[in-house]
Amino acid sequence: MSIQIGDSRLSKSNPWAVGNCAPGDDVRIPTERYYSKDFFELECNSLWNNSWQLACRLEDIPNVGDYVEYTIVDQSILIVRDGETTIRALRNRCSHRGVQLANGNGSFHGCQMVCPFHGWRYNLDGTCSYVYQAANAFSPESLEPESLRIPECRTAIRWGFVFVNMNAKSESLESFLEGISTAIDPVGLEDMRVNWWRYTEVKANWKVALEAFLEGYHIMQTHPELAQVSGDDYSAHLLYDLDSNGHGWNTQDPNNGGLDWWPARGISYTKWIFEQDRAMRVGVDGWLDDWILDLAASFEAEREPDAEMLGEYFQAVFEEAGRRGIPIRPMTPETSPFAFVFPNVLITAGPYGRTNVYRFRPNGLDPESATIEVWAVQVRPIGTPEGPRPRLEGPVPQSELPFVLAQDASNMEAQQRGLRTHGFDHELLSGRYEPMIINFNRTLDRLIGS
Amino acid sequence: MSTVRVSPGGIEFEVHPGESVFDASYREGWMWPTTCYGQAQCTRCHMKVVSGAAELPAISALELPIVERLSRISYRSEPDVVLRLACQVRPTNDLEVELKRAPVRRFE
Repeated sequence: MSIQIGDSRLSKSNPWAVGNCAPGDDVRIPTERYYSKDFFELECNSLWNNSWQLACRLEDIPNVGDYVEYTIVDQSILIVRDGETTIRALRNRCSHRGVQLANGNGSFHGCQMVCPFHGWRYNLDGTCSYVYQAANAFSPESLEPESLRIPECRTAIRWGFVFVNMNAKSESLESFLEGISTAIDPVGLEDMRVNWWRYTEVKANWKVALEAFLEGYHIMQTHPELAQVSGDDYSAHLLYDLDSNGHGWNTQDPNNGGLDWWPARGISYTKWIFEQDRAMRVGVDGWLDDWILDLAASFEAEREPDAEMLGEYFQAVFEEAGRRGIPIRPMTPETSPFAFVFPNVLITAGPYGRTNVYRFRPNGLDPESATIEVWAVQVRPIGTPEGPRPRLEGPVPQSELPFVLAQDASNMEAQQRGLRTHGFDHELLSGRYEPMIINFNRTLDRLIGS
Repeated sequence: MSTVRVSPGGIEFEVHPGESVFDASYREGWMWPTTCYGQAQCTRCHMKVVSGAAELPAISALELPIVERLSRISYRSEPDVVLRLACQVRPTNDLEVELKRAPVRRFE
């Protein structure tokens, strides 16, 4: 299935390109993009083989020899800490007969990666260190060191994550992320540590799963607990910035946002924040700590929340965080609460030092199966020792997901089945309310070269 | 910090907190017998624990069936011997262990 860059099949045309065949800013997206095996193959060649991808947390591999396996469609890459300050992304196969060297996560000991089949060994930099019975078994020409070396992918570190790219000629990660930096950098993800790390599986294309998170238009119907305090025009106030590399993020409307505007009818902006926070605490099993909810409750017990209370409340939050030694970073006006990193990562950040990071991937080679993964990360009090390496839990049944995520997941399989309806060739997207989805798909098309 | 004494060979080295006997020997420059390098797979790193066995942390579900199998195959005549894998044991106390062959110096 996967094809090397430069393969002639790369020039295969893309009859499933997103067009402008709708009035105004509306866009129609061909439904076959979500189940066609041919389109899936174009994605393998042009997207996954060519794009920077978030592979793991740095804290997954704290010590020399630690590794995590990163898989994407049918490719496996071992992310290995090969020195105190160096990390390598090695193709997961022995140069002898292709057996994978390791799976999941773990540690290589004695600085050796050993093939379990015939005991060939590799140093952590990928060079071959041992071939069993080398002189008797092979001609010297076959054992030329460069040909035995495990090939590497590019790596770069950002926000406490290791990113990899299978294309050696790709642009730098720094340049790829430049446009979205000011929206995410202030969150301080590199200072956070994993509270939990779970995944679930859905019978839906990976883009169906991802796109369920790329707009706020669904909140009114899908998330009643989040919607109940918000007015009907809530999603009209959500604005998005788009980047030519495919990224997108939610911003505040500078002319109609902040304290002058609140989306709820009959309650203050402050009250709305309190209500949202309570729903999010349970709804995504993160967002903020219970002591902050208690603090908000104590403010509410004093008087009905008004506009002035918000400043007092956040001052109290930061003071209490200071007393607890928790270095919560203030959000800048540019910080986005909701940022999409092309092609498959979503970062949802609040003002309380807790963040959820979502990753969406195809489940192996199946265009109609996806995994959704969540890292819930949080700023630790100063002086907290590094804990054990995070453990991935799952697959978590959808019914056991935090309720907001379960609500999102509930639409995906129904959408996947509906997209296959005969005669339903295009879905309709709103340019104003769903621009991140459109920008994502157009960027994908540009990579495919329609 | 604990000390491991190995016979034959009479070598001795420190094991840092949280470290396995195998990792400590490698750090100290010894080639402990292995072909899987710490993956609890090849069993070649196994050792007879002559003293200190009782104080060791509980054996893991990964290691237990491996040493039980080894005991049935290679140590049938010594049913009371305590076998452990050096790559899995993270001692907090001093140990005396016995190997079939002495570890040799690792090439640098």
